[in-house]
Amino acid sequence: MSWLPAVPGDKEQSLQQALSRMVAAHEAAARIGDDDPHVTAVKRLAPAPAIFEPFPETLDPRLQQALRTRGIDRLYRHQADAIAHALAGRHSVIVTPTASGKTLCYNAPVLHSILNDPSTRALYLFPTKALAQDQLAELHQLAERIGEAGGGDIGVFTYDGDTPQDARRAVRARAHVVLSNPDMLHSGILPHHPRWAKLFENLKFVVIDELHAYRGVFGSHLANIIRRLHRVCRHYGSSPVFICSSATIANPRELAERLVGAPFSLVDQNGAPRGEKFFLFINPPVVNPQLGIRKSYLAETRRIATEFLKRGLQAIVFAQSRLSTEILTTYLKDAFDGTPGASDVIRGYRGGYLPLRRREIERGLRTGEVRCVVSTNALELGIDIGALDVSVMAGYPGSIAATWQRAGRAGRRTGRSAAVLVASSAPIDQFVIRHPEYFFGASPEHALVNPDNLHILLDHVKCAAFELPFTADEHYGTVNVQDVLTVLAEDGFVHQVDGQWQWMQESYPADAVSLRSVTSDNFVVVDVTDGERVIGETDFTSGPATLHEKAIYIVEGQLFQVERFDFDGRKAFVRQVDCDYYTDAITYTKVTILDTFAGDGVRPKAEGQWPKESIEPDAFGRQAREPASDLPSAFGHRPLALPAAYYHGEVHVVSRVVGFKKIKFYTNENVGSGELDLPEQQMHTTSYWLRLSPELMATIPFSNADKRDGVVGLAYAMRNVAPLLLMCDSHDLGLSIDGLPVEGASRIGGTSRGMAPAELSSEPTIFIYDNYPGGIGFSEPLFGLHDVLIARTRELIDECACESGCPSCVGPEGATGPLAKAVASRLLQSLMAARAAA
Amino acid sequence: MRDLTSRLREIVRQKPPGAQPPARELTYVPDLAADGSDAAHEAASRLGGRLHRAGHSNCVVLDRRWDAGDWYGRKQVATLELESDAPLGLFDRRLNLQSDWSSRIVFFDIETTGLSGGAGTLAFLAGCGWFEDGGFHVRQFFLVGPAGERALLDALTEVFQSASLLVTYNGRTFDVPTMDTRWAFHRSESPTAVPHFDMLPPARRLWSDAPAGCSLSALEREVLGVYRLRDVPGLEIPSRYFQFLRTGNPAVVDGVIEHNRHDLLSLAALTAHAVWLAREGPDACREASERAGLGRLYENAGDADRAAYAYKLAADSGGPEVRRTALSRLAVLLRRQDRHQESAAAWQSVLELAPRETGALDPLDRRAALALAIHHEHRARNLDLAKEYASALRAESRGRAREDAEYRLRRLERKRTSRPAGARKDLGFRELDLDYD
Repeated sequence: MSWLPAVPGDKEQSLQQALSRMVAAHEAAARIGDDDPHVTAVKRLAPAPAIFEPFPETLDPRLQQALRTRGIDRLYRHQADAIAHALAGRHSVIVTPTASGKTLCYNAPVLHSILNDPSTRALYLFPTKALAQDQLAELHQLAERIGEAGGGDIGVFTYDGDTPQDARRAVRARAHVVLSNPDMLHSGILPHHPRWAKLFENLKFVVIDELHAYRGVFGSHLANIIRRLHRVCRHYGSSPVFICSSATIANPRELAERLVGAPFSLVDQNGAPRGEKFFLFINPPVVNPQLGIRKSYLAETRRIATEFLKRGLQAIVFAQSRLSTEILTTYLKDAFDGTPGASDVIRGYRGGYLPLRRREIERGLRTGEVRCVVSTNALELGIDIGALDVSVMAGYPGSIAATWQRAGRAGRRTGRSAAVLVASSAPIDQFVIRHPEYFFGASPEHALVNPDNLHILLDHVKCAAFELPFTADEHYGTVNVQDVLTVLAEDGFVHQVDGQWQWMQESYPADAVSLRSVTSDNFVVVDVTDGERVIGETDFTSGPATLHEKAIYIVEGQLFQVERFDFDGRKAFVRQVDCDYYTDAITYTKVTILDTFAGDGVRPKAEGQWPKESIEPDAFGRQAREPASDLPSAFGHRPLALPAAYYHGEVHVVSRVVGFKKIKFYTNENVGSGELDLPEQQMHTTSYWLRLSPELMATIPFSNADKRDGVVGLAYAMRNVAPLLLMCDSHDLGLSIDGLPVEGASRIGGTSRGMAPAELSSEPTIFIYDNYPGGIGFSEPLFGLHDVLIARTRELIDECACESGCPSCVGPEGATGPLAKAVASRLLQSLMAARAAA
Repeated sequence: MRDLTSRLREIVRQKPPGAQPPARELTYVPDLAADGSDAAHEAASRLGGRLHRAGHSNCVVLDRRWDAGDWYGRKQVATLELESDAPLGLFDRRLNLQSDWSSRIVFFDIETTGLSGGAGTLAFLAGCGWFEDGGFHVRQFFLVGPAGERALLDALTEVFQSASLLVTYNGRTFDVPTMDTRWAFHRSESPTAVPHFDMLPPARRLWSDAPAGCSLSALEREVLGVYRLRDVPGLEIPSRYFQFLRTGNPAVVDGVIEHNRHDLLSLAALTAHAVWLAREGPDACREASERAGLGRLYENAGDADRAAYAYKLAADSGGPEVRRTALSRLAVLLRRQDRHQESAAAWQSVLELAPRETGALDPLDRRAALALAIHHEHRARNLDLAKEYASALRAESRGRAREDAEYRLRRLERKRTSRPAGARKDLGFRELDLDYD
C-alpha cells in the first residue's frame, strides 16, 4: 500500500508538500522571465473569519432551541439577512459559496412560519433528485429537534419519480414541506393540482436551490413552469414568497427575476468563515514548438492528480466530456494498477450511470473510501460528497462561474485546500491560463434564459391549458398567448368555448415534454456479456454518436463494444472487451438560413456615393446592409465600402453521424476508422453569422487556397472567443462555414469531419449558432457583441506566440495551412480598420 | 421575418422548413359571445332534457326510465332490484360493517375526455341510476361546455347526499377519484364519502375465464345475454364529445348518452345476477368456470366449506383447464384445513388432467409437483415418490426454483442413504416448504 496511504497523517502537511514543487516552479519561472511558464499562476485565497448576528427576537423559540441543540446559537450575517427578507414577504436570492450554511437561509423562515401556522405549506425545488434526498436528511433532523422542543409534528417529504405510488397520497396529505424537482412539478404535481389543493391553498414559500443551474434550455423551461405555478396558485388564492439560492454568477437577481417574473432582493454579504485555499494554473509544456503542440492535458492532469493521491489526499477531478471522464478514469486506474483495492478507490462519475452506482460513489466520497472521483459537471452541483482536499480541473470548464463552482468542491470552513486548473490547448483555455488576471479579476458570467423561446413556450402553453383553461383575455409571458392558442386550436389542441380555451385532447401534454433535453427519449445500454443487464443510458441526441455499432462504450474504465445498435428500439447491446483504443464519432452538419432577424454592416464614414444595397427591413425595423455585387475592385488604395456584414436570425441545422475513428489510449494515434449510416437529426435554431464581402476577399493578397485556410482559421478562433463573451459552455455553440461543418465538437457528440469546406464561396460566411433547438438566446447578444468579438479574436491571434498557427489560435497548422494565421490576422485588420473608419 | 403565427404553426406541426403549411381553414366559427346559457337551452331541448342551474352555470339533466315489465336480456327489470338482505358482504366485506346500505342504492358511471386523469380531464357526463316503483330510473348530467361543471357537481351532490350506497364498475380506481378531482378543482367538498361497492373485483373473481375479458360490455353479452345495437365504442367517446364542443351538434353525443344509460342498467343487472348466483350456490351456475369463480368468492369471504363444494362441483363438470384450476384451488383449501391426503389427491388429479402432448410442465403442473414432493417427503414419507417429483421439477425449472429443486434432491438423497424412510422424526423442513401455499 505504498501508493495509496489509507489514512493520511497530516493532510495540511501533505497538501503543502504537493503544492510546494508547483509553487517553486512558478516562482522560478517568474525570476527568469519565462514567457511560457508551466505554472502560470499561484493564487492564495486568504482565510476569512465569520461574521455573526444573533437570532432575530421574533424567531420562534422552539426553532431557536432546536438550532441550539445542533450547535447553532447565532446566525451568519447572510442567514440573518435572508431570514429577514423571507419573513417580511420579499422574494430574495441568496448568493453564497459552498458550505456557507445556505440551507438555513430558507429552512429557518419556512419552519418558523409552520410553527406559527401549521397549515403553512412550502415547496422546495432542486435540480436533481439526489440533491432533494440530500436536503431531506438535514431538514428531517431539524424537524425532529423541533418536535422534541414541543413544536409538534412537521411533515417533510420528497416527492419525485422514486416516490412509491402508495406513499404519494400520504405525502399530499401530510407534507408541510415538499421536496421535489422541476420535472416532477411539471409532470406530476401541476397537472394534478386538484389533488394538491391543500398545498396550493396554503403555499407560503417556494424555495429554488441551485438557481444558477437553471440557465439556457433548462432555465427557460423552469421559467415557464413557474408561470404555470403562478396560475395554479392564483386559482387557489395563494401567492408564495420565493427564496432562491445561487452560486456566484454575475446576475443572480436578474436570473431570479426572469425565472420567477417578480422583483427580488439580493443577499450577497457572506458571513461564513472560509479556510485558506490555493488556486493554481498549469499549462502543459510545449513539446513541438513549430506546430505549437503541447503535452496532452489529460496526461498532465493524470500526473498532477497522482501527485496528490499518493500523498493520501482526497481529490475530485473534473473532465470536460463523458468521453474524457472515462479516459481519465482509465488512466488513473492504470496509474494505481496493482495497488490492492485501487479500482474501488478511484471512481468515474457522469450522467448515464445508473442511480445506484451514483449513490454508492457519493457515499464512498463522504466516508473517505473513495479517494478520487473523475467526474463530468455532474458533480458540480451541491450534492453532498463531503469536503475534499483538492479539485483538479482537466481543461477550463468554459465559464468563470463553473470554474469557481468546481474549485469549491474542495475546501472547508477551516483548513487548507487547493484547486488546480490544467489548460488544454483550446484557445479559450490558453487565453485563460495565460491571462490569470482575467480570470481572477473578472466577474463571473451572466446566466441567460429565454422563456419565450417558441418551442419551449408552446409546450408549456399546452400544459397550462390542460391545467386551467386560459381565459379569452389572459396573458402568459411576453408573446400574445391568444395568438398561440388560436394556432393550437387550428390543430385541435384547444377549442374556445364558454369564453375559455378548453383542452381538447385525451392525452396528458406534460408527458410529451421533457425539460432536460429536447426529446424525452433515451437509449438504454444493455450488457450481454453474461445474460442481459442494463448498465447505463444515453440521451436521444447523443445516442447515435456514442452507441453506434463497433463503438467503444466506457463505464468507469471498463470497456464495452457495441454489438448491435437498435435505433428504433432505443437500445444498444454491448459486450465487455479488452482493447487499447476508444472511438470518437465523425459527424456531418449542414446549416441553412431560414430567416434574418437583423443585420448590420461595416461601411465608411460619409461615403454616401457607395451603393448601399440592403436586404428587406427586418422585424426590428433595422436595415441590414449587404455589399452590392458591382463594386469596383479596390486594392487597398481607399477604404472598402462594405468589407463584411453580420446578422442574426433563424437557421436549420441537420446533423448525421457518418463514421468513427479508433484512437489509441495514451498516444492518441488514429488506428482505424469505419463508416456508418445512421438517421439524421434536425433542428431549427438561432445563429449569428458574419459574411465577408467578395471585395474584402479580393483585397487580401494571398492565393485562394491560403484565403480558405485563413477564413477557416478565423472561424476557429472566433468560435473559441465567443463562449468567453457569452456566458456559455463551449458546446453550447456550433460552427459552420458556408453552411458546411468545421472540425470541432458537434451537438450530437463526436467530432465534425474534416476542415470543410474545401473551397470558399464568393462571400464566405461564418455561422456561430445556438446548439439547441429553438435557440436559447446566444445569437442576439453575440450579434450585439460583434465588435468585441472581432477585437478579442484579433488579440487572441496576434498575441499567440506560435509561428504560423496552433491549436490555441487559428487551429493546428497541419489542419489549416501555413498561412492561415497571417490571412486571418489580415482579415481581422481590415474588418477593424473599416469599422474604425465608420 | 415570418410572422409569429406561421412560425408557431410550423413548430406545432413539426414540418421541415420550406414545406407548404397545410391549407387549413377554420371549419367552425368560434362563438365568443355566448355565455353558454343559449347553447345549453338548445342542447337541452334537442337532447330531450332540462337545465339545472347553479349560479351562472348550467348543465343538462336527462331523465329516462325502464318500466318494471321491460325485458333486459333474459330478465325483466323488476327482478333486478336488490333486496335489503342481498348478501353483498360476500363480495365486499366492508359492506358487512354498513347498516342500511340498501335504502337508496345509486348506480354510478361517468364518461370523460380522457383516461389519463389530471386537472384537464373533464367528466362531461355523469350517469346515476336507481330503482323506483319497480322500474329503473336513470338521471344523467351532461356538460354543454366546461362552464357548466359547477352545475353538474351541484346536481350530483344532491344525488349523492340521498344515496345509501354507490355501486360502480371500477369506480374505486376511476369514477370516484375522477369526480373527487373535479370537486377539488372547484375547491368544494366532495360528497363521495358514501358507502361504495365496486362490482369489478367480484366480477373478476366470478368470471375470470370469460373469453372476452371482464369488461362490462363483454360480461353483459356473456352473462346477461344482452346485445346492444349501434353502441358507441368506448374509445370513440372523448373524440365525439370534442366534436360536439366544436360543432354544437348534440346528435354526435346521443350515442354516448345512450351508451352510458345502458352501462348503468347492465351494471344493475350484473350485480343482481351475481347476488342471485351467490345465494343459489354453484348448482345454479350454467358453466363450470362460473362454479369455480363462485368458489373463489366464497373462499375470499371466508366460507371454506361452500368454497370447497363449489370447487368440487366445478372439478366434476368442466373442461380440463377449468377442472385443473378448480382442483388446484381445492387442494390449497384442503391443505389449509389439514386434510393433507385429500389435498394430495387433488394435486394428483391436476397432474393427471394435464394435456400430455408436449410433455413439458406448465406452471400449474409445477405447483402440483412441488406440493406433491413436499407432501411425500414430509407427510407421507415416501422418499422415492418425493424424489420422482423433485427430479421432474429440476428438469423443468430455472433459476431460483431449480436451485431449490436441487437442494431438495440432495436432502432427499441424504435421507435415503442415512436411514430408512420414516424411521425418525423428520427435521428436514426448510423455509421453502413452509412458505409454500
